[in-house]
Amino acid sequence: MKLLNIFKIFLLSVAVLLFASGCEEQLKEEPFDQLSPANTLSTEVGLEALLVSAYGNMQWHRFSLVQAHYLEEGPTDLFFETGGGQGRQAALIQDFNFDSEHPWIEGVYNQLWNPIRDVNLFLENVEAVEFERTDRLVRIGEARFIRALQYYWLTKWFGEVPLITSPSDELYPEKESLSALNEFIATELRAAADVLPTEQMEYRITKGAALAMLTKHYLNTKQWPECASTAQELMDLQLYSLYPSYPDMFAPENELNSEFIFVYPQSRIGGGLGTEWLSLSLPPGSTIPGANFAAQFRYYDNFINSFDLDDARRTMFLTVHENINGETVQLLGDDNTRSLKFFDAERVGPDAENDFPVVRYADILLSRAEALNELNGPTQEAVDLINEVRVRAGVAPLSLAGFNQATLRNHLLKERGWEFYSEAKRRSDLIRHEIFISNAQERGKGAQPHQVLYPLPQTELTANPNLVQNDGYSR
Amino acid sequence: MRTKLLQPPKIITKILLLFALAYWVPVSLIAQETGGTQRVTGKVIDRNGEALPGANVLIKGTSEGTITDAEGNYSISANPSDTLSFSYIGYGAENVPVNNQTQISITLIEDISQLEDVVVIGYGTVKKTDLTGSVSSVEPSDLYLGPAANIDQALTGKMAGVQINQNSAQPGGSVNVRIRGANSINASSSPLYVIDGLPIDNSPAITGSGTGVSDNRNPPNPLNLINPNDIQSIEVLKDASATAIYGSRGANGVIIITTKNGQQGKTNVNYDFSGGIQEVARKVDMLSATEFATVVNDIRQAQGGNPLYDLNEVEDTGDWLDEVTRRGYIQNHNLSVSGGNDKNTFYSSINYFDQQGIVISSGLERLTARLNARFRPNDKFTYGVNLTNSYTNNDNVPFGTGFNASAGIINSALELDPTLPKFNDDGTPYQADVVDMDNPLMIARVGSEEQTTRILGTAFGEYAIIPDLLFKINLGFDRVGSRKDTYIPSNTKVGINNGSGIATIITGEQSSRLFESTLTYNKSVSNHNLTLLGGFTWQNFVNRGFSGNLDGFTTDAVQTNNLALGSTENDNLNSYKNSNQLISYLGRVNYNFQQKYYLTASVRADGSSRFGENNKFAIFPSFALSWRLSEEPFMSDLEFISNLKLRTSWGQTGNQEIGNYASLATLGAGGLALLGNQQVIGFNPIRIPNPDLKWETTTQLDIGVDLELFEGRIDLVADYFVKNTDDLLLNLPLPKSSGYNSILSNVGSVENKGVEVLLNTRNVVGSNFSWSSTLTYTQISNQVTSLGDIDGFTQGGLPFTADITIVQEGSPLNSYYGMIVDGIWQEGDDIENSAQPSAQPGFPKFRDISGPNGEPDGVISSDDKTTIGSPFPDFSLGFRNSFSYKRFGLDIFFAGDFGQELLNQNLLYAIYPIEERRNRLAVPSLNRWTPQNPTNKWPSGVNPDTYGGSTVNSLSVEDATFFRLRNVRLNYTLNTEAIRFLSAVNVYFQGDNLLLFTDYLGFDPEVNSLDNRSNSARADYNAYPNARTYTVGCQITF
Repeated sequence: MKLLNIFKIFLLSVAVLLFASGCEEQLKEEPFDQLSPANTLSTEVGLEALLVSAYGNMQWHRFSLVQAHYLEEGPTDLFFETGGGQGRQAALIQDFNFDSEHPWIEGVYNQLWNPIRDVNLFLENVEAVEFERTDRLVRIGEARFIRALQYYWLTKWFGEVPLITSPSDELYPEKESLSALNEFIATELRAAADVLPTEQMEYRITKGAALAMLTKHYLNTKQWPECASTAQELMDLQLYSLYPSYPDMFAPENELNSEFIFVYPQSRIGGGLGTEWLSLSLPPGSTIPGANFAAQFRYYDNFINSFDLDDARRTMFLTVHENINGETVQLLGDDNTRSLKFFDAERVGPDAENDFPVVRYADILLSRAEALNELNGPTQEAVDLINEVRVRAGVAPLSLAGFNQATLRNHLLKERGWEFYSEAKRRSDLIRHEIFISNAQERGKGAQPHQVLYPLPQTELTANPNLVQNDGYSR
Repeated sequence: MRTKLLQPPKIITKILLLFALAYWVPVSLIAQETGGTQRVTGKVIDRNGEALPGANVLIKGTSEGTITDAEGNYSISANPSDTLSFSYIGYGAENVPVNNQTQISITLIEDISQLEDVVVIGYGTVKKTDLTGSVSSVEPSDLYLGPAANIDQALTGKMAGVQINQNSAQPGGSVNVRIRGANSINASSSPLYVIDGLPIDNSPAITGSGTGVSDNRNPPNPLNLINPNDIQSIEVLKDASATAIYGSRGANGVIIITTKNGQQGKTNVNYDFSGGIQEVARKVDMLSATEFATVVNDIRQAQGGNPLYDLNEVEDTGDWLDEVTRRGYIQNHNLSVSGGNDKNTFYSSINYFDQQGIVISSGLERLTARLNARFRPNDKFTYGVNLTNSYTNNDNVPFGTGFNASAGIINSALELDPTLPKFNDDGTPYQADVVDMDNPLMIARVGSEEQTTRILGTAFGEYAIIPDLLFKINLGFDRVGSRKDTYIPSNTKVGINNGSGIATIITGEQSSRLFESTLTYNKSVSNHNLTLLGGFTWQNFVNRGFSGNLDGFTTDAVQTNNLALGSTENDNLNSYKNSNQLISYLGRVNYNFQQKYYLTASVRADGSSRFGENNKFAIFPSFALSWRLSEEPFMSDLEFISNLKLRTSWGQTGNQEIGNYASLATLGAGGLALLGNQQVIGFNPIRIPNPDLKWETTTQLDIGVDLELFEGRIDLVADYFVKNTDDLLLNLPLPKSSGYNSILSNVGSVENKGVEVLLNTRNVVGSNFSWSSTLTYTQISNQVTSLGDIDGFTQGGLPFTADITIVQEGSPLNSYYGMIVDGIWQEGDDIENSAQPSAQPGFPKFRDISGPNGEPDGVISSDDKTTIGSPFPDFSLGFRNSFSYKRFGLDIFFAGDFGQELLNQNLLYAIYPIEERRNRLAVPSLNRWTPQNPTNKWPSGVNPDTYGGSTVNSLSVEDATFFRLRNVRLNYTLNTEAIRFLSAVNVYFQGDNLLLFTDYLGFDPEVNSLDNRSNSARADYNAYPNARTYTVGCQITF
């Protein structure tokens, strides 16, 4: 009897307890400080914010910019880096000893995919949403440009990569062929150019930017007729021109100028949104105030000495300086010249305001010149295009006489070096001219032919069994 | 005053009444028919006939009971079928069946055996003899708290299977507590803390650091907010039988802290005071100015350059480290008042703790108050509150993992060029232009204070529905509020670069609410003893925070106290809020037959909001069996065996310690775009949702033996355990082409297995002299047994050092990962045909262990990286000896970990300096390879950027074995018989961290500069130096 009672009590208690807990609703999570995709991505405001994120992830600053820059200019005949915590990683790049575990290669690869993710999600949702405040087609154009730009960099550095164009694409994709990727980049940039406005609005992507990247894409993939015609199309917009003064063009106060077609904007405000080029370029004991890192960006004597002494472009180098102790230190002669192209007297910490030009009008002129030379050999038009750039720099114009296709090609490479040093273009130029490896070997580096591409990061291969490492890399 | 203390706060009474009405009414209706209680009175005395006030008188198998008054008298109502259990600390318990007696007096015998001690377990208590699980129990009186800021510090080395390491010797710095190993890769491996029945969230309320401030990655220990002097007992639940009742939070073990309660009888007033001084226990040997200048010049010369320093102008002006360290002070005052009568008891205390750290500008101040009270309005009903309110102020000095201008104070003190002047002519700190690093004395001027308050309270009501059936409601509330203020002065490097000072205020609050109701049924019928427990609990956690920073101050004078003086042009504001809920049902059966054969089974069903919608609920069962062989007739001849018990248990526990929302698709702050002159923040997707996400499950098997010989002269507890944690909450790396780094998934397994032994011996037991020893031994082997489809991944990062450790099948979790250095290339070696053809004599010789085909390939590449060390010790030892002679007591405690490795980032920087003008550890620099010193140990330092190989290697990963004389304490009990108002006075001298035996080159081999909360890699980088402490204290009881 007693046991039965106890049993009853227990049962009843358990019933009470269960009743008390009829609140399993509570196990549903309520994210107070995060947004639900369903609500957010069905509105214009939400999609705008997603596109802003794509912009933000596309724009490189500080070390994001430095590591990408270093992959493009570090293994070339222009400059190198020593010292600091970066020196060891830089040495692996400039000496062609990198492998798939190099953190900068991984860093660059990884940062390229975030804008693609944002754009794919944007494009997936945008068709269903009415835009009232902005032109939806323009926004779609911007998004497609941003995505194509990422693939432009990916193919340049890594060759074949997966082509992801939708959030629901395969999580573990295989590589896409280079031809398909190149086709995709060209199609997307053209589609963007067709809908984007010509006028620059708050650093948003313009038609000019799309045509400029398309020109560069055709140039680097050696599609010469398309390169020449796209460059011409851009020139015909009559929106862009060479900035009168080469050195002043890069100054923060002039950063919105007629020559910068597409830039990664930089800001000294905000902590981490500027370029730290200057902090890596100032020599130790520099009297220039502000951050001065232990790592040193140094230009080779051979390159500095190749300039015409009257070249206005050479004035942006520091070849000798007086340090804080009043001692004069010779930099040229010790492979130690510094590029002060991105100089900002008012930088905050390492953050300088100088926008980083991805494509300048000068590049369009020289790209068309190069395409014309490849198509037809030296022509007056090609030489004139080059001379526009030379005259602005205060050096003597070239004359058509005396150039054959090969010598003009060689000159173009040199001219591009003088014009675009510190702008992360040299590796692509050398590769296009097919001397990237031989040039490195001539400089005593153990470069191997397969190193025209970087290896896919080991982390990516580990995460994706369907990926195959680039040829020549065991690791 | 006294009456006020004893009056229960009205609101609590009301709340309890409310719950009583809601839950008991139906139950107590049924309970009416039982009854027939009678009043039993009596007296409890010791062998000398002296009354024992405050002795416990319990109705066996219930928590119903009373305590004796000042004269040793008690009165209790009981059923004839009840058994009264009499106990008193330090005395053997006695059980007397009531039958028809109304008068039961008893003599308790002093007992050195601990068999009769009551041990707190989850949602109940159990006699030590009746334990079926593996539980370590410590009373703080055994701990000799001394100057410990928190209870974790004092527990180090005292319990088998519990490994505690101090991550940072900063005042109130964090500790790493692992019970039976590290079970998880991404979720926490820290135990669950339960304070007076309230499981607390022991994560810090603020983890971020102020803008530009290089804060320690390990925030202060939240247990700093609990006054160690208030603690009555600490139980550590280790095996699944003990922990499964805590379900999805039990996998890492549970630490149950019970705070003190008053005793019936005379009101006790206790005043404890201790004061201590601290000094740097062990300095790191860096190069002196002249050594440094010579080394740098010599290396420059070897590189074909010109000397940097004019040696005639360099003089040794003392160590930078001496400038930033000092003699530290600790004072601790604790005043407690406790007492009570037969119905009500109380304990109250206030505590003041103040520590000035051995690094300048660091310290900890604490104030706590506590009130615990119990009320027994009638025999059926008991209720009580435990309430504590505390305040801490952590004065922090930056010593985190920042570098260059953001370097911490220790980083700067160790690495700043020692040839530089320390002061300007006017006595202000000299700021060098040649190095992008502050004078450490400037770093000390960075303001960083964190103030935290915590209110932690529980209220409970217990009602005996029928004598055998106890209903209990426990309500808990815990709220931690922290505010951190940091200010970077305008004349530091960061301030100069920024153009003005930078102020940051961060606030964070965590609150938790608990509702818990349990029913306990106790029954003994002839030889069958049964306890049933059933219950329901609900707990909710809310975290919120707000932070902001801005700069543009025209003056440094107001720091964070008037942000209106700054400029909002460059401000940042942030806030967050998240919450999670647990709903749980629990049940347990304890059964024994003749106190010989024991069975325990428990189950908890946990519902957690954190997990995927397909997996909200989980069931965690456990079973345990034990057998007291010593009670068997066939053992009765072996009288020297007072207890022999074999135990085994099996069970499952979980781990849900991941962040909130991990299973949901959400959008959060994304890319910050510069559009026009605006910074515009976008939203981007945070993760790929995983609706199948669930808890980690740890299945643990434990086999143990308890052996007590010669009436407690030798007491041995030994356990063997195997813990397999499956469905690890792993951030499964995703291809970056998805746009995500990883997806939190249940993948892989980790195994911890080992042996733990606790051996207590009372070597000499005499009236004048006695000597006892305690040895703890813990041996755990940790191994990742599966990672699903992935091969492994690397973790851990410090400035310029990435991928410090690897997580891979077959290796201990977070094994150090790098290359093996087989000595140094010497002149005459055939370098050209080696795997490092471009090496120079003096370069490290890396071992070619593998290539793309798994075979040595004659090339040093990333294929040659391998595991080069384990962060886990092979075994840990604690060895304590206590002596007493007349009124003197001496306690000596050694502890050590053996066989583990630690990455010494300062050593790594000595081998791979990030700048030539950075000072380095003396040993590798002075003994470096030169043609004249063809050593095989330390590389030449010539062009180290071109060494090749990996920087995490067998040179920079050091053996961190250590053995430490952790403390020595000498105490003397004064003769106070002549002084009426004094009951006892005890004075003591204590030394902590007196001797350290290790080959490790850093300050201390126990530190961890990386975040220990997520089980990432362990590494030492500019750790806070450990202190040696000398304390004088006295304990006065009035």
